[in-house]
Order: sequence, then structure tokens, then C-alpha cells
Amino acid sequence: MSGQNKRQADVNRQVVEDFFRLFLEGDMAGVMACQTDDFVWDIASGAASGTVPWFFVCQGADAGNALVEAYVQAADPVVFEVDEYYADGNKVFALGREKVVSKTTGKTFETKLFYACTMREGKIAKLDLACDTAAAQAAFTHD
Amino acid sequence: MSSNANAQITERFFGHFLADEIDQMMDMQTDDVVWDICDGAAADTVPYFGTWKGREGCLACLEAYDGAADPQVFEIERYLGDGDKGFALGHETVRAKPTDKTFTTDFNFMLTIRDGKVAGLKCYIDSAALITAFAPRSGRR
Repeated sequence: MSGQNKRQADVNRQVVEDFFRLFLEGDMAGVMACQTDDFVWDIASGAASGTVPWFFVCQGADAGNALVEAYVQAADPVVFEVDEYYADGNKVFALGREKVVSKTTGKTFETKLFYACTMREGKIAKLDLACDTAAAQAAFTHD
Repeated sequence: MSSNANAQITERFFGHFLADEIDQMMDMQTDDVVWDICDGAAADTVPYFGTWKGREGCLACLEAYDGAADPQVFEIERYLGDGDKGFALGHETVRAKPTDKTFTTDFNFMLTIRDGKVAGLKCYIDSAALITAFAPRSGRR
């Protein structure tokens, strides 16, 4: 990696670290400021999207706040940790884990978290979450 | 293309996989390598999910994959690296042989590199898509 690319990767990594720190502090204005105006979140969209209330794709601050609200309404997070960050080119990967109680069923699920952030001009333009969607789906499915 | 050394190791590793050069792929790993292939809620349903250890474990995982999955598409778009990690980002379309159902999903592989060899591999994928594809239909009672 050239010196300039390494410096940009370091800047990108710091932005994503700030993003998750601000999220955990509940500073949603700060979270939004780490992103481009047209940012996209793909929060584990796919097979479990119809079951887990916050698993969908959204774009922009209003939709992002709505997704966070869906999470708050449906999930009681017992553990939410993001503690490893890696950066190369325009990507930053953030790794963690969470343990969540579903407010609708009372069931608990645990999953590793893999966030892939695509950066543009020092801000997060896209954030993709991969996690154990089967575990989340099971926790939000009534027996 | 990333200039990161671990990205290049990751690209060579998956190059062997895609060329069906399994011995060369295995030779790139440490003796105590561990694969975590989406070990979690779907591990009892998807035959190749779970934690696999050592060369024999990895070969058993690949055998389980061959027995259960008919990949129609398996493409890796980017290889990246930082610290002791290498990353491979891609997507696949697979027919589940036990059910004949097909699914399409993105995947992320993260490799841990130690002394130039692959010491760990983790796969992150939409496990709910696979559990849907691999779970048998409800039987008649």
C-alpha cells in the first residue's frame, strides 16, 4: 500500500470507529455526520427481511433514523460490541458481536457482526451488515 | 487491486479453490488452521456450515460442500487486506442438492494470516437464505 493510500485508509478507519462510538453514545446527529448525504445501509437484507424488523435497505438520514427506531422498538440489546477495524482502499471492515432479546417473542439470539463500509471522500457512503440472519430469524419467529 | 500482502495471499488461496487445486490450497494453511463457516443457527441444517479444524477438517468441509451444493455462480469481486487479515468479497448462486432449491447471496470471507500462511478463515453469509434452501419441506403426516 502506498503512503498516500495508507494515510487515506487510516482516515477511513477512524471515521468508522467514530461512527460506531457515536452510535453507542446515542448521538445520531454525529452518526449521520460520518456519512454522505446519500448514504445507503444494507442491514442484513435478504431471506430474513420479512421477519426481523430492522433487516432492510435504506437510504438517507430520515430512512436511517427510521431503521434505528425499528431496532429500538423490536430489540433489547444485551451485548453490542464492535471492536476490530480493518481498512484497505475504499473499504473499512468492522467486526463485533451482539446478543439481543426480541421484544416480540422474548427469545434471545447471538451473532457475530461483519460490517463492510464503502467510503467516499472520507465519509461512509454504504454500510453492509452480514450476520447470522438465521439466528435472528429464529428469535423473531413465534413457536 | 490491493497492494496489501495478505490480500495477495487471499487471492492466491481462492485462486487455488476456483481452479480445484485443493492440495495447493491446503498447503497454504497452517497445520492448526480453523475454518468457521457460518457456525451458528444454521449449522445443523446446512451440511458444510460449522467449525472445521486442520487439513482433514477442511477437506471434510469441502467434501460436504461438494455433496450438498451445486454452485451455478461463485465470483469474488475484491481482495483486500489489513493487519493480519485478508478479505474476499463476492457472491454466489447455488442449487441445494438435497432440496433442489436455488439461492443467491453475497458472501464475505475473512482470513487470518500467520507467517504468510492461512491460520483461520471465517465466512459471513445470509444464513437464513441457506436454511431456507437446505431445510427439507414439511413432510406429510
